[in-house]
Amino acid sequence: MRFLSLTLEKYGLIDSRTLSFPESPGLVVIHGPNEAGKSTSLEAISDFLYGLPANTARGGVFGYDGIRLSATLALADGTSLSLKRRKGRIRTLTDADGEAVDEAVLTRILGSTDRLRFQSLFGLDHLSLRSGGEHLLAADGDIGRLILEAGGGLRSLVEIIDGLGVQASGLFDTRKKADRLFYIGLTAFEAADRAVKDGVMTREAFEQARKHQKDAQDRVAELRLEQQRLRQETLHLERLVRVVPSIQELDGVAAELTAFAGLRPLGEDFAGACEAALKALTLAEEGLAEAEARSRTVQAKIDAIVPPQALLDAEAAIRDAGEKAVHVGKARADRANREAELAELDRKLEAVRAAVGLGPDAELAALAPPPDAIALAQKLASQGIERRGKIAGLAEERARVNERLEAIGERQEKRRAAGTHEPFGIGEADFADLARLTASVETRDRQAAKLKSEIEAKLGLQGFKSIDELAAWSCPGAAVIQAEIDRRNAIEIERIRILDRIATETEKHGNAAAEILRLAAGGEVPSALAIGQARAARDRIWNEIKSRYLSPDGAGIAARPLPDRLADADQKQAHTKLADGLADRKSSEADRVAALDLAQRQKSAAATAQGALTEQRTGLDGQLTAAIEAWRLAWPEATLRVPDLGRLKTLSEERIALLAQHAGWQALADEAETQKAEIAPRLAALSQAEARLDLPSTPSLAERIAAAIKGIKLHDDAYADYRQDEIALDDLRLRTLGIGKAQDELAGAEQAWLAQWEPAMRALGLGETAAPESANEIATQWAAAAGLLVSFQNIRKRLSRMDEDEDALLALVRSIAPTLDFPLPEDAAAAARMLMDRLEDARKAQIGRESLILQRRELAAEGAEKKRRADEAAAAVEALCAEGACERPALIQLAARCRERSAVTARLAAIGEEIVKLGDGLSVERLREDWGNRDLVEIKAGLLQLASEGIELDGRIEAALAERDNHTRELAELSASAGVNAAVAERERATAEMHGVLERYIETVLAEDLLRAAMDRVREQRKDPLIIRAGALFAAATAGAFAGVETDIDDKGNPVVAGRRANGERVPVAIMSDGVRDQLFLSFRIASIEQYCRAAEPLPFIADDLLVHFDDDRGVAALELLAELGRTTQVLAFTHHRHLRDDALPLAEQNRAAIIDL
Amino acid sequence: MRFRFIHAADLHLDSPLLGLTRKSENYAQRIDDASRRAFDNLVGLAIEEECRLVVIAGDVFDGQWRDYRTGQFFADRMRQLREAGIRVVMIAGNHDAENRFASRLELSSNVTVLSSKRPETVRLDEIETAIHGQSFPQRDVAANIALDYPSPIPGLFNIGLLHTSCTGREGHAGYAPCTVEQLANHGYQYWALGHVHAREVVSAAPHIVFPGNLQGRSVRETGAKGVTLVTVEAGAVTAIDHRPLDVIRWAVEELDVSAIEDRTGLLPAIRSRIEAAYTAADGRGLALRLKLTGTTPLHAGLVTESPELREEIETLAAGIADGIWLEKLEIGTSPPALATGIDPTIAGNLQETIDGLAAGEWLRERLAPRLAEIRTKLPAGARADEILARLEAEGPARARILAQALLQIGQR
Repeated sequence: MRFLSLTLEKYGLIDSRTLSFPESPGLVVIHGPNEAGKSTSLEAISDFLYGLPANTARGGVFGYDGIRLSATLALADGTSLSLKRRKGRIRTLTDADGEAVDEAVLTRILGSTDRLRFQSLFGLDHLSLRSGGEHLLAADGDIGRLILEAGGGLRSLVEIIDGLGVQASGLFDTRKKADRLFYIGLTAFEAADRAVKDGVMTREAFEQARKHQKDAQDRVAELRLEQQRLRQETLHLERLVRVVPSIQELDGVAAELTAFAGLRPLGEDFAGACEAALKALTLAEEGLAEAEARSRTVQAKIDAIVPPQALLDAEAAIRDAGEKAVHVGKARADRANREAELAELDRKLEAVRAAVGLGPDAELAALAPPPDAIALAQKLASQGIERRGKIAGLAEERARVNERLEAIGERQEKRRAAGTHEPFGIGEADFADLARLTASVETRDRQAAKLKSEIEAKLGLQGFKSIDELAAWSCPGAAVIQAEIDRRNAIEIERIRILDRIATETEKHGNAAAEILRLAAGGEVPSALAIGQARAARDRIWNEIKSRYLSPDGAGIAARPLPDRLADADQKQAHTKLADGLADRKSSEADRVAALDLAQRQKSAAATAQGALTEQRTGLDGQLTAAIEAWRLAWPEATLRVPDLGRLKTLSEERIALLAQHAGWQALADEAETQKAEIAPRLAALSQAEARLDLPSTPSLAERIAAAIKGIKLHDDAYADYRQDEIALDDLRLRTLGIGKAQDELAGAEQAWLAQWEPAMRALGLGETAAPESANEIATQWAAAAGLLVSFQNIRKRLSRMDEDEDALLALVRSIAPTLDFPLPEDAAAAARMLMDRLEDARKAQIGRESLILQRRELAAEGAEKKRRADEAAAAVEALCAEGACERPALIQLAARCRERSAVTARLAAIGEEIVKLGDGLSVERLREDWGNRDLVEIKAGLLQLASEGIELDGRIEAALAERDNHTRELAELSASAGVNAAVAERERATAEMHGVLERYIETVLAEDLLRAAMDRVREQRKDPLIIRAGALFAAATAGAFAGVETDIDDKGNPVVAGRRANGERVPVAIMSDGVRDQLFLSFRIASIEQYCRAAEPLPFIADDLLVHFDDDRGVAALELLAELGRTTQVLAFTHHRHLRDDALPLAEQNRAAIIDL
Repeated sequence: MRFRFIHAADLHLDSPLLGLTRKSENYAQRIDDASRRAFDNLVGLAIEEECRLVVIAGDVFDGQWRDYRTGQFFADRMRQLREAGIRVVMIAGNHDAENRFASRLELSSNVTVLSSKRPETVRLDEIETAIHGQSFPQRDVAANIALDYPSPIPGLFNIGLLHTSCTGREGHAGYAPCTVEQLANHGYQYWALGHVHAREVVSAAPHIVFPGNLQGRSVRETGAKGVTLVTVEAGAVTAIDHRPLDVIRWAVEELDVSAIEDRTGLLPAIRSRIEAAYTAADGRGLALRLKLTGTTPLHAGLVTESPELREEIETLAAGIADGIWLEKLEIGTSPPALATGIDPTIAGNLQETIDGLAAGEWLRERLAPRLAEIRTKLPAGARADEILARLEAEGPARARILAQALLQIGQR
């Protein structure tokens, strides 16, 4: 398949473009600068063949809807196709009329070569070429890799396959390795499995543990019962030990109560009431005395305090003086700062005074100009300074412009005198290619003359006087003649075959006849026919005899004479013998019968065949004669001149070639004439230029053209300078006018300014002739002085207020002093502070006295209350004396006796309660019964015995409990889940991971096996033819420096390639230069493509700036290779390098390449 | 009389979930007691729905499982049911018969395990119901034991409890075979079957039901797993509801990626599919097998970068919810078909050669010694036969797909 044309519409940056490719040659060099759409065209080929990708960027400018890629393709079978491709998902292919076309039209051509494979095999750029060469080096010429890489960029496949081995090794191997994934899983599995086995609780283990636990529990219960019994016994004895002493004490106290039999019965609380009443009376009397003493003390304190009344009366004035003293104190501290500020301001104003010429004591505030006047003076001064600078600048520029005008004017005058103020009129382009074209015309003339003489010589040889006679001669074409030859040959061949067969059949006939004779020589043959005939004869004779002997009348027999009857008998016997003999011999001579039969059939068949073949031969003779006659009638002129068809065919072919040669000569001659007509005006122009430039005459056209071009260039350069200076002159004149106008404007502005300047200076207190710079300085100083003066006045006012405050304080202090009975300091502030301190003391004394007066009032009320209480206590004591029938002094003893009796009664009750309590709530009577007046020592001895037994029992219980706890714990541990399920889950997890690893391992190692085996097989299949062809291409690419490539085995046993120099030297890939390696790689790629194209529809090879880094020689050699490939398939070589395009020119001239400029 | 009962089977308590790899640190905690939590759900459902009866049609335990704690766990939950006044009638299945402790458990008084010697009937007069059934005496029961089941008791609701493969079910051993017609003609109102792990209502008149197992244990047991809740009124079934009680849901999701043009579009589509599956699992943990299908130019990349893609998907799943495990990522895609015809490129040659080698015995000859090596290294209990059979069955085809994909990648 080859592209005849390719049209891009709304594709990438291209609105519309059509590339037309020639039918031949195969190599097309497409040259275009960068951005000419080269890469776009390149991609368009793939997009046309395989469809536009959904995410193509080629619709970025014109959108996707308008994209159309059209192409006309010529196929290997001679047909052509015109198709158009749009962007879309389905049915994107149409014919030239827009009718949808099945994609199969293209896929039939492309076969199973998809886009990726097409691009990797049929596309090559300099980067791929270079990296291919580098990989060739890295692989040290490994044939397998070379075939992969050159055959379609499968370089990464080798790395991928190597990677598979590494991957597989990381997954599994029979050798254990800690970081190998399978063994990581296996280790986890084994750990989990152990955990499961260790953790599983069987039913037997559980039942056993449960039985142990139950037994221990029963034992503990039994001991607990025993312990309980012991405890009860111990408690009983302990109770007796506790209560027996109390019972004995109870009996003793009961005896004491008899001593109070004579005491008058009084209430239970009588003793307490007496003691309380007497105690209350004593307390009341003591309280009354203490209140009276405190009242007296307070009165003494009141009398001792006398506050100074004069100070208290002057309190308002003293507080006022105190506040003023605070202000005065702060002012005194601040005064030094303010005075320093005044001095600083005065120093700053010195500069103003100096600027306006005033003495140090002059009052500036009065002399200061108003702010508006200062601002106006500053503005006018600034304008004046700026304008005067501009006026000076314009004057300088005017001088410079005048100088340039004069200089340029002089140059232009000289150019006018030399005539270079006008263009030459004849350009370099008029002579471009003139020498080559002239040479080409001459070459064509020579070629035409040579061709013409060759044609005339050939005409003479053929016996024609002129080319017209040859053209007019009626002669069939070579194909027609060949067809006739073939037809006659076919008849002749058939005739010869028939003759051969006739001879064969004749020979068969003769052989069969001889065989029959040989077989017949052995007597009559007992064939089925002969036996049948003999038996028929025997039967006929027998029937005749039988009819005679068996006739009804019997007359026949009787009438027949004996000899006849004997003859009948003999005849019958002879025939019977013959028939039986033949029948008997049938089996013994079966072979002879069969051979005879066969020979007879062969003879018959040969005779039949002879007849049929003879007829056929006669028919063929007729056909041949008829064909010769028909040919003669159809081509009488040709038959007359050359009867022999072979010679006629040769002559016919030569005639066609001669006519084509003549047409070529005619075209050459016409072209030469056309070119002459084209170059004639350009030669005339050359002569004209030489005359104008006054050039010396030289015979060489190239030298003439070079001299003319040089002269014209000098003239045109001078003219260009003239034009440039003319433009400069115009610019300078314009500038002069501009300068004048600006100067006028500035002069007017100066006048207006002067009118404002004089009053402004007066307002500033300066003369009207004051310079703007100095006036501006003074105005600036005045502007600064205004702020300083305001600050100066503010500080002065503040100092004055300080003095006033001092005076007011002094006056106030002096007004207070006469009312006081103590002296004050001279300093008013100190006096004020003393007054404040004294006033504070007076206020404190006054408050203390008022507080004591209040206290005295409260003490008086308290004394009265205490007197009332003492009276009430005395009355209560008297009442108790009456109840006890005694005087106040005896009341105390009566109360004591009553209290003693109550105490004994209480002790009796308490001991009774104690006994019940100690006796665990049992009654005293029950306890007396339990005691039974036993000896306490005996009871304690029993207790000791029980304690000893208890200790021993506790030990046994502890042991039993420990045993029970152990068994319970064992059971609990068994029953707890103990992570068995987690271990099972972990084991399954490890299993799943091992399975996953093994799946990947098997997949990986088998894939590696497959890929390596496939590579080996493909290498073996392709190696030999590829290396032979690539070697031839390599020799061509290196212009004979190498004779080819050869194979070898490297140190590792891998088959590798190496170059072989013309002198037989072997050059390994490792020591080849980069360029040579690239060429080796290119040779293999081209050989691969040729292999492809032999097996399938050839597809175009697309080289994208392939030779960009080749030097000239290598570039030419590589172009040779591409031209070689162009014999097999179309080669589209895109380049933006002009030198590569030029390198292709010689190939183009040999019609081995075409060049397209974008 | 109206009451409800639960029909359950194939609890396989403490049977592990197969095929999951660790996704997170709390992996074991999430899945190790899945069957127990599912059984707790059953107990909770029975109490909540005020069921009067639970029937279990065999395979409470796994055959080889020896940990007695499993039995204790079951006995404990039976006591819970007793406290709620719920009767339990159960039979032993093939796995229970094989189990060493199943027949010797001390179960609470509300539980009746039917005899393995002959068919036995339990009458529950309080709910006017009779349950007939027979436990498996040993693992292999080839006889049609249902033939000997007693005739229905007139006036009662008759339940037949049977562990059977019925007329045969794929993936299940053919134990206690019987026909649907035989069961239907027996006269019981409800046949409570067990053994087949997929839920199936074999017949609606009378009801013959496989409730399926309680908790899926591998990717072969997908979908909702649970029990059948049966409502009986006046001696007839008025409703049967399947109640999913599983805590980890198994699912197989197929995603056709034909319409996805590049890898950037792939993960969102996968995310969407996983989210849908997780939503369908209704908050349960999800063990997912994801299979990518369809014809796509991404095929080669998917095949060769499958481990990396798996990690990406696992990360993506972790972002959706904590309890999602990618059990397996299957790349079942295919590359766009090339036009038929000769492909004389090297790649075409290699492809053709690979296909040729993979088609014949060449690859199997290389597989056999590797499998033999692997067999020596796989410990007992690591399901060696299963993985070796899978490697033998799928290894060559997967290797061919990988080799072709790498060939495609190698052209880039």
